Amino acid sequence: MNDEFLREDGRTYNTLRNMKLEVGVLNNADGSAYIECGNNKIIVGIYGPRELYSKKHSKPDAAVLRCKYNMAPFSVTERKRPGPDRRSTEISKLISEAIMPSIFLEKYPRASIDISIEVLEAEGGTRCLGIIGASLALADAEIPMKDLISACAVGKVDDHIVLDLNEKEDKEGQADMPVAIMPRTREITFLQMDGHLTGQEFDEALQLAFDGCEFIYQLQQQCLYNKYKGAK
Amino acid sequence: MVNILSQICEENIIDLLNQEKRIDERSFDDYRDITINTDYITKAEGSAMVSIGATTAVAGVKASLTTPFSNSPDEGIIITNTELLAIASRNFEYGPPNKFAVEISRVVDRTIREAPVIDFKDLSIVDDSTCWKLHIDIYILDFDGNIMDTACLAAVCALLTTKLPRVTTVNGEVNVDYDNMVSLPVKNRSVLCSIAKLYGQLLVDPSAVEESLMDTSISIAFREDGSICAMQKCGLDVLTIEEVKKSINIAFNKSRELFSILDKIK
Repeated sequence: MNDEFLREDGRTYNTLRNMKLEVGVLNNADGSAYIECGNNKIIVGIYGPRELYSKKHSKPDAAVLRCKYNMAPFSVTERKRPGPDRRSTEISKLISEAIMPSIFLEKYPRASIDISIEVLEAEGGTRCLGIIGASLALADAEIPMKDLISACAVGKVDDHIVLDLNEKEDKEGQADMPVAIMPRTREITFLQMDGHLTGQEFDEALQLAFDGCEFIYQLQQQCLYNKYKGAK
Repeated sequence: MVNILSQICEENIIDLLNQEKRIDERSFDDYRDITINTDYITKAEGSAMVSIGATTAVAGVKASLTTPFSNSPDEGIIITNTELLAIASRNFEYGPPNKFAVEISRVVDRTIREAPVIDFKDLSIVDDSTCWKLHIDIYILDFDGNIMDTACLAAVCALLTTKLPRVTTVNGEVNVDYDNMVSLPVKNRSVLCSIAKLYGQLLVDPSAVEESLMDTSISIAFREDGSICAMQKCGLDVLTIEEVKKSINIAFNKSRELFSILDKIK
């Protein structure tokens, strides 16, 4: 049944939007990544590991991971006031928790690793793209990790379970579930859901999310390979 | 902002300056490569990504309808804001715009307002009650000196490519036609050119290392007819009258180059 269903933008239930991944895009940052997916444009910069200015917040046995997700005022239809709000604060917290299990933070006691995710244009799915970009930028910063983190959203639109919701599907759909995983161990590091799903639909959606994440994982690896294939 | 520069690098720069050379082999009045990518943000009414060397800025114009200020009831409103993003440099921090960011916003604002790039009366829809408010947000993504010129060029390019929905008023009722986008009428284009004073020498388009050693700088904005529309000296050191006059001359010549770059957009 799902195979014949065409979405409003012409995609089938399991197609991602066109995705462009790039690493090493910034001059000063220790690691950086740029993502375009549909009309989404996201740039991620990493500084660190570096000495943590505030000793009060440093840990004697591990680095502190600090993550900021921020949307540009011109990234959305109605101008967004600059500065943090409740949504970006929550997303920042969740992204840092999604990334943390993959990093060997214990290698850098008393240090901090700062991740900034800047959304230049948003069209649905920015938190997942933020996670994908953050993980790529960490790899670009040569920070030791167990695995890359891959992420994508699934949801329910017109009673169909679909992959990678765009802005309209996100707003008008029946359910939205962003998922991030460590593909090698197939462990989930980030999971949110809102809307309406039955138990069976959830199982189907999660399977689709895993398939999507694994595909994106290959794109992430390819992106790093393209950048560093000549490196020693 | 703390900039750490090695002694040997500093001495190298000074040695080269004495031989009338710069560390990146430019002459004193050369800009680095300038790239402009307009209509970069689909959701903004106008936008541009501009790089001067490795310094990169994105400017986006967002328009909304509002009530005009009571002291200018027949004019629209333009608000310029600059954010120095934490990804751009290890010395930039999160938080509300600091004094450096505010200064950039205000200099860019004056360059646009005083030219004026667009006639503010064109932004008025119904006097005393409805006008366009344009938010020009400038995002500094990457830093290698001379944010001022990069930010200003990005803001002007974003304005030059801005399209607003056509607005009609019937019996005092305002109708906005989002299917019918029209370009903003441009009145006077303007560009900003900054000159840094370093060990007595005047340099165009200072890079980050040059800025960390510079004594003071002066930014001069020109209209297309060659008249000056805004100026700002910033930095701790002094400028002599001769230095200011010489800076204006250099900046005027460079402004011609910047206008010819602006001709290529659209």
